[in-house]
Amino acid sequence: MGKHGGGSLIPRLGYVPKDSFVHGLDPMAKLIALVCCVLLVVIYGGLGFLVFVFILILALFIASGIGLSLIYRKLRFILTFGLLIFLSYLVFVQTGEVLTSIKPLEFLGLGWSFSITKDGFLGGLEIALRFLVIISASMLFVATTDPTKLAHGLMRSGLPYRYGFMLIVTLRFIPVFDMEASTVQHAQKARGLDIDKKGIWRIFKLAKYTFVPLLASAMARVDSLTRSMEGRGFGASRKRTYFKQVKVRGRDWVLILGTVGITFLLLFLKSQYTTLLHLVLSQL
Amino acid sequence: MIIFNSFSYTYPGSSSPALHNIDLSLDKADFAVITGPSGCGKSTLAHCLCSFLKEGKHTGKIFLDDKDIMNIEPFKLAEKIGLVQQDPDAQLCTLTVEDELAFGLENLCYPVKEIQKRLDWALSVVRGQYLRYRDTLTLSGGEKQKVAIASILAIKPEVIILDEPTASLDPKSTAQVREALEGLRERTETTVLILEHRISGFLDMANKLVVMQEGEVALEGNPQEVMAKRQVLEEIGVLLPKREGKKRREEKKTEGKLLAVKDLRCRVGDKEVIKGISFAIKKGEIAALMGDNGSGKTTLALHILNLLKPSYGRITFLGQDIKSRKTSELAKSIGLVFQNPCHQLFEETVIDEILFAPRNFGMEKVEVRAERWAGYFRLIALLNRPPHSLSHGQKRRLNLASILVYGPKLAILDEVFIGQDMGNMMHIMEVLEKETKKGLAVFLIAHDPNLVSRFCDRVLFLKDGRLAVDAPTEEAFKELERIGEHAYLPRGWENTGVGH
Repeated sequence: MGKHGGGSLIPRLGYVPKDSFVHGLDPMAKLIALVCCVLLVVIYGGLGFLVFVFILILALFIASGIGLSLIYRKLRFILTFGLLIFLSYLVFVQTGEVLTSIKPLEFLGLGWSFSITKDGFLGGLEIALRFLVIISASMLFVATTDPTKLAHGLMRSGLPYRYGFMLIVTLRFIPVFDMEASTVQHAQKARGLDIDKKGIWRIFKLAKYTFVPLLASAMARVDSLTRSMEGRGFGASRKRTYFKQVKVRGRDWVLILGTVGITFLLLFLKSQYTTLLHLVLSQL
Repeated sequence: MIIFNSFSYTYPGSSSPALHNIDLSLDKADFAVITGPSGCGKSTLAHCLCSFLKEGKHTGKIFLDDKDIMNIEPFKLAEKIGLVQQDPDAQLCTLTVEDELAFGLENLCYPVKEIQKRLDWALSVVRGQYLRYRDTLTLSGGEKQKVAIASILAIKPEVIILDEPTASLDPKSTAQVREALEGLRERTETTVLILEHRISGFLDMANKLVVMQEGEVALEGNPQEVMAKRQVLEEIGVLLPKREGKKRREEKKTEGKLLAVKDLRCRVGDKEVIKGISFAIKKGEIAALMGDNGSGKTTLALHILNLLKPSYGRITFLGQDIKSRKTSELAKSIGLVFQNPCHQLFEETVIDEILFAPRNFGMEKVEVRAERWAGYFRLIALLNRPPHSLSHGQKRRLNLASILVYGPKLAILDEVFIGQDMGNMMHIMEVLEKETKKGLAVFLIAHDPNLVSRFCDRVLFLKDGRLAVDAPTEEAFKELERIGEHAYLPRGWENTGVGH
């Protein structure tokens, strides 16, 4: 605890502050684009489309100055998971054109075999890609969006401000609690608690000795904070004004209209195509 | 403008009133200081004024401009009364200074143009324009308090209450808060109410001083008049009694090197906080460690217990290098009391808390000793209470008892006097002085120069990662004056000290 990569004092939930085009986009515009992207991935799909979107996302990661090393580090787990989905498709989808047959247990003298089919291969690839695209798109959003600005954006768009401020206050106090946690550990050792000793009972005790002081300090802080916020009229009325003006610029509108337009278009085409397909099928 | 009319208040579940028959009136633009020993009711008074205490029972009335305060909802009061609290960290709720200043006005639905205007104005009144575009996390304690004051001032309330606004601040940050208050006094008509233990820094600004004792107003009036009643103030515990004569504790022998630090360098993250310091602490000595917040005092303390590893240099305790020693074992000889009392209270009862360390060390039959230490620190009646339910002052004394009970040879005390009244401070120092006669060395991290000049044998001053001063107390203050650290000189020093 108490260690952040690069000694940064402000860990903002995966937000990587940079001065880039992607960072500069309006948070709400980006959120709308993300929702569109997820919709299309889930409903529209298609291997070609998915590969295209995935490459686009990777390009945006590079364009935002964050680079691919961060996603590689964070994506390792996701990649493994995607691979597992892919493999399970290979094993369990046995319909369609057979590409090759494998007897994996032959060396044990078991003749059980399964086929790798075209359906299984392509289906697995598509599901794994969908998964990857959704996760990496969300990561791009989180890494390039200042959560305070997002909270403000959401509140302006109608989210009750109490909820928006829950996010802001959390962000404000994460570093504080982080520092407190390491102080508590120091205090334990300074009073002779040997935290290296093993055993279930000791782990339980240690957890107690960590959470009790942290909780007590948090409660005191919450009291002060409530007084400070209510004392400045928080909760006095349902509405509130926002001092910081948000400029939704041309490029934000392009992003919103572009993604929403493409989504409608593709979903429309898809529904037409499906009706057409039904029509053809019913004729046969 | 504010009138307390035989006002009494009793907390829920308590049998005796926390405030008893308060009659007090404050006018527009009054600058009042309210003081009194811990538990005298200052904070209760402030919270009643802000109408935070609704659960308890009250009799009598508080009027604000002829309206009964107890009938007004807290947030409706926001435009009339603002409260600045002690903990600078716990009252800022946003991530940037601008957001913080705008917070109240936004909640009260002010138009953007007006917010902009008030923001400029409030920052200029507290003399904090340079803070405008900063992140709240990067502010020092004093700057945080400045922002907290400005964020309330922006609402333009009629009254601003400050509850021990400088208790946890170093002298430089305290000066920043004073600066903000000077601005308030000169440029606004706001009624200011300061609740403080250490009143000397505010008296020249105040036109009213109220001394409270056991829930009642004991003295009230013009600061000069009230301060003239020195003996009464000493009895109540608002002032430290004068030291008899100038003699230091000559009879005490400080000998034998206990702790030696040699060319220590420490990093925190990427920054070198301590850049090569050497000093030693002898048996029976009370040494003070002073310096601005963030100068590395706490970091140094953590290194002495091997909680942090130095990047260079050596620390020896009784001639042994501590490098390879475990903290949990080293702790038996070196006790450390941390800054925040909450962070070091682990057990469910006070007596278990005192026994926490001795049990960890496997010491036997310490119960009698534990009770004796509870007695020294006036905790005997509280032995079965949960530690977190104690008052701040009681928690601090419990922290001390929990360290001294196992008889360490060196006690490092990080800001143990924050929020203590004079009576408790004197009492704690008496206990410590008695122990030093038996050989205990005390390394006291402290901000208050008056306290240091009164009780410490030696002063070490950390500045920019180096020891700027390491000398016996009198000499040390002369040295501090020479290097321009006037904020760290005790009261009256510049009149009696050499040159100016």
